[in-house]
Amino acid sequence: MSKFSLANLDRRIIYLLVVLALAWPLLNKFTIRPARMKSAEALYKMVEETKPEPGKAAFFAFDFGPNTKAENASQAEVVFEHLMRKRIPVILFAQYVLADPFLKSIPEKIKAQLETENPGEVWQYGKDWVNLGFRPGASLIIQSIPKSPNLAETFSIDAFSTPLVDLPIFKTPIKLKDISLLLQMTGLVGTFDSYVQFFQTQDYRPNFGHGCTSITIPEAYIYLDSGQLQGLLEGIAGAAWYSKLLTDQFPNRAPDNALLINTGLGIAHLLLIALIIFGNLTALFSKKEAKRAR
Amino acid sequence: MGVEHASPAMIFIMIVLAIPLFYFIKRAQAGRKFFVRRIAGIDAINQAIGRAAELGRPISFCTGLTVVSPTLYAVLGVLFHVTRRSALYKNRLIVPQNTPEVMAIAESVMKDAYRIEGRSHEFDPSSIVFLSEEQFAFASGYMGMIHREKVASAFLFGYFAAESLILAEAGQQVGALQVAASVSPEQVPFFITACDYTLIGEELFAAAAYLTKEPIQMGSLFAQDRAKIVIFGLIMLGVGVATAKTLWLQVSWIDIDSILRAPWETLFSSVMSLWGRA
Amino acid sequence: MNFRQRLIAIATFLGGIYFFLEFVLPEKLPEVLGGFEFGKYHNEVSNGFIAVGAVAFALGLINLLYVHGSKIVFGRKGALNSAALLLSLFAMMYLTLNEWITSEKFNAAAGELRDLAAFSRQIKTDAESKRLLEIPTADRIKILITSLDSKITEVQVTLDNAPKDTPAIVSDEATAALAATNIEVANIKSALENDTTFADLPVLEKLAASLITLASGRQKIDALNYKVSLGKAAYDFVYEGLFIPLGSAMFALLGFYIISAGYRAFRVKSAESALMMIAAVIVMLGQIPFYSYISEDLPEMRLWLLQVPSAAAFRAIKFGAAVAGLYMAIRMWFSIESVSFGNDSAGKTGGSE
Repeated sequence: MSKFSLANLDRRIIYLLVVLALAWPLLNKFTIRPARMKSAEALYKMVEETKPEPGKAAFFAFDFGPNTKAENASQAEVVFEHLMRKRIPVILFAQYVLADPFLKSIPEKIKAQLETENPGEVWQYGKDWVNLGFRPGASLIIQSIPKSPNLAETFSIDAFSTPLVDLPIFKTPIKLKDISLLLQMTGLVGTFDSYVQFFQTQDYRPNFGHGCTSITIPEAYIYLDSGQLQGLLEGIAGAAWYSKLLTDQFPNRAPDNALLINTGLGIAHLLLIALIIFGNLTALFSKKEAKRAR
Repeated sequence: MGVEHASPAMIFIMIVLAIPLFYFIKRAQAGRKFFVRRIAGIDAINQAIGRAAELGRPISFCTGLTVVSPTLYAVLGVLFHVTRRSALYKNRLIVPQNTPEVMAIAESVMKDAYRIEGRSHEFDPSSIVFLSEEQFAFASGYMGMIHREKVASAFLFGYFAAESLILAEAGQQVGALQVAASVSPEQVPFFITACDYTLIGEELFAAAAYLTKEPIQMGSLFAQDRAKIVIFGLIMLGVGVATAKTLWLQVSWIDIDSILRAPWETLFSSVMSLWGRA
Repeated sequence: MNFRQRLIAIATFLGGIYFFLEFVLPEKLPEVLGGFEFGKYHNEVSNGFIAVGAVAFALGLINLLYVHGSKIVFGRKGALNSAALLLSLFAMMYLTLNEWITSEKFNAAAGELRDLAAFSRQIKTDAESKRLLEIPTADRIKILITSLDSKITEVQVTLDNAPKDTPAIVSDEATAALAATNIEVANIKSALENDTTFADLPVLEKLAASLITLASGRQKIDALNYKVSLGKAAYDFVYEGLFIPLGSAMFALLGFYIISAGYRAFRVKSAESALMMIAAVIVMLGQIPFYSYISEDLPEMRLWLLQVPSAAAFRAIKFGAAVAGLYMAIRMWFSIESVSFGNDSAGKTGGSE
């Protein structure tokens, strides 16, 4: 059988088709309205209904690295932007060492974006957000948070070695009950479970929003269904819908990558479905021909 | 609501679940035989080892991203068996590693396996290759290794994340017979697509028992199934009560959730008040 | 069981029993039982385990040196690749260590200013409390000023050598803080000349505030200086230029592999596979932007598939794996696992067919 037989297409042709499917919308800046994601809407509503209060903050974990940057960084950017717009103070944190650069770059990027859009308004490090940096220990660190009477004492310094007590966010002691929102964006498997298990006390659990890669969506749905998660960003599709909701509320905001990447992904999905149907049809015809030949 | 400490009900359930383990291990050690259904993927392990011996090509046993955990011990049981067989047939076995601690334990297990087969002198420490702790650097190293060595059989046992398809495709590209087992259900579809045999969920934990028929493992396997029946019963009870509550609102039903979550203070105060009444 | 195995079994049991009791017992036992807090030192114990775990990085390094080093030394096949690997390893270690040491140096320099700020505040607090001090307040202030003089000179040098493209807000903030510090120091010096008891305590609080701002400003300028250095350029080239794109590229391979594996393996051969195919197509179509061209109900259908059958299957697998993991953990804890650390009984029990 020829290498280029239709029933067994050379994988190099398939790879080429994938490249074209993904590259075309990126190169042409072609975007299309994303699919509606109810779980992303729930997360949006949760953040929207949270009011900035003195002495309270959101705890945001960036547990992703460069590998899942396309999905998780897009998710982190849109949610962080929403928190910044609402002036909810954010405590940034990571359990994964490769997330450290994102803890620095994403807030700076969003700050620059917002200050360009809103001349005269300023977002300040220490007042609007704090970067605790990467902390080793995985679930052991998460377990220590509910027991801490003051997070400034537990973590003591930020990612720049500034004592936390010197930062405006930590002017009053912050403990778990002062965390109004818990958010985690991750492509890792296993880190999310430790937040579900341990980031709570006997009588308080903050609202939990999670952003995951597409592979772990079915697992995240278990927790969304049971009420342990109140909002979920399902891969880049969730980030794209969240971005669309932000644009509806703030029409002057700068466009982000989420919509672009999501459109490319949509075309790749269609390609996969077409290839599967094509493969099944050609296999069916080949079988019929072989039967006829016999 | 908090789970930083167990409630009394949780401890009771843990004890109820733990007792069968010791009971059935004792029964197995006393000689009782337990039936285990045929699992095609586990049968294929010996077939894969034999294939590698016939072709004269090496075997690869990858533990993925497994860290020191119960999953690792289940995987080591299979590694022990594969190593013994490889030593017996004088097959080359390559064990790429992601985690240094696991590497040390795996080396110890492999040395034991060679020793038991009477081939300690044939054990090659360089068969355990530390690639990288970084997930995709590990996947890249594994791919390169598989292509260079042209393995005849590849075992992917343990905990895998997004790199699972990359690892499985690498073996598929060199025509290796692949048996995969993962406790992460989201990786199962990738393994099913690219591997010849896939073990799902707790079949990984059953594998070592199935292969060795060792009493401790057989007893534990049997106890696991009994424990699942208990959990199933609890789920049914919970579903029944929740359904009944919605259907017959006027009746005051037992609040199972608060019984399960009731903290120690509630138990102590109940005991103290009973003590006081006595 | 020989002595070594017994020791391992005891250590395993003690480690397990601590965490078991810490989880099982309440945070604080009732007063009638002594009010004992079992988990009082849990953070310290956990940090100990983290520290022990961190040492394991050396194991990987030793293995790499052994495997690849022996290839190079004995000239085996792949020696060149091994040489490239070890060279890259040491180069990356050097660059990362350099990056870390430099950032610690900047943090330490800023930390010294913050320590002096804390000292200033402490002098004020102690003086206000009017308690008897071994060293009088004026002498303590002289020590503070002496330490500050050298630090101020260092900061001045740093500001003078700031890169040309330092943002105005950063340099202005640091310059203002330095000016404020100099003013407070001058005020303190003149107050000391006139009043040896030193009554003007609020100036110490002002000094502390300006020192904290100065520390932050200095840190930012040091970071900007480092950014244009060779060490940082090399690190950025290797980390952001190579490591990050390579990791992303490996992850991107998944997209290609999923599509080629899907095309190769997804064949409808039975009713179950047809059902699976339909479900997969609905889930895929329900989350892409083009669903509206096919049916508006696709997202709802997708949601139902994920929330009902998929969640049920995932839960079932997770329950099974969790119970199996629990039993394995109990066996590990009580060391009744047969495959463990030179157990001579391993393999004696019949083996496989």
